[in-house]
Amino acid sequence: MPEELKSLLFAAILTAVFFFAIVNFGVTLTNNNNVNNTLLDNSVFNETFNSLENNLSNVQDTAQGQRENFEEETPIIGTDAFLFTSIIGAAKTFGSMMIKMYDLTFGLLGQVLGISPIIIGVFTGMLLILLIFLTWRFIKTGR
Amino acid sequence: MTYITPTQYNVTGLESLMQYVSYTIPIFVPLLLFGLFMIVLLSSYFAQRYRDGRGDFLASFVVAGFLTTIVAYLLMLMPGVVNSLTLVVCTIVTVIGVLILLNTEDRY
Repeated sequence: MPEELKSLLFAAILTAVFFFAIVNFGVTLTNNNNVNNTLLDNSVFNETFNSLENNLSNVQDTAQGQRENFEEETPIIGTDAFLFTSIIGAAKTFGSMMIKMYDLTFGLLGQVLGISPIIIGVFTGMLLILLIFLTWRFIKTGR
Repeated sequence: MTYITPTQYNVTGLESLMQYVSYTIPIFVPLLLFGLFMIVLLSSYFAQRYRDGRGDFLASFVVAGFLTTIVAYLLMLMPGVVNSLTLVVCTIVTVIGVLILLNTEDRY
């Protein structure tokens, strides 16, 4: 299970980076050629791209801060606190990226197919309940 | 339905020709992109199958998605040829393909 969770997190991060790279290519291409950018006309797309951009910038700043903390900490006393802080920071970043990709995929699908936000909300709620039960099972049984 | 002629639209070059086609038949460019997607997907899959004996459909799907998205972005340089919905759908299909590819093991 830890291996699967790790691969799932890496997959989510890689997908977010790929999405950001593809959209950034489109945006840079239009800016370099002085053309009106139709790519960011869609509000969900625009919001997701901008928040991903901020998120990825924050990851770099957080990593830089953690590196400085690590270089300042005395290993014997501060190791656990440093590791705990790093794990929480990394988990928050990965979690927000996964949520952004979920919002992008299902938000846009709902918009394109005309699905009511209530139905998407119910579906999201069911997924969250399922995730909570799976997490509880993982904590209880380790599988 | 009466279509306007290229003369009425004042077609003077390739860009205005593409804009005229897109204006007259809005579904043309999305169909073109879909055709490109299918050609790349099927050719990649069957070429791999011919060479290695087994084809990786998911990888071919992602490659076709990437190529189609890039071509859509290049067409976006001509204003009015591609609308934002087509671009968004191309990007989302690619992202979903990447997600499924990265989360699937033992594809063969």
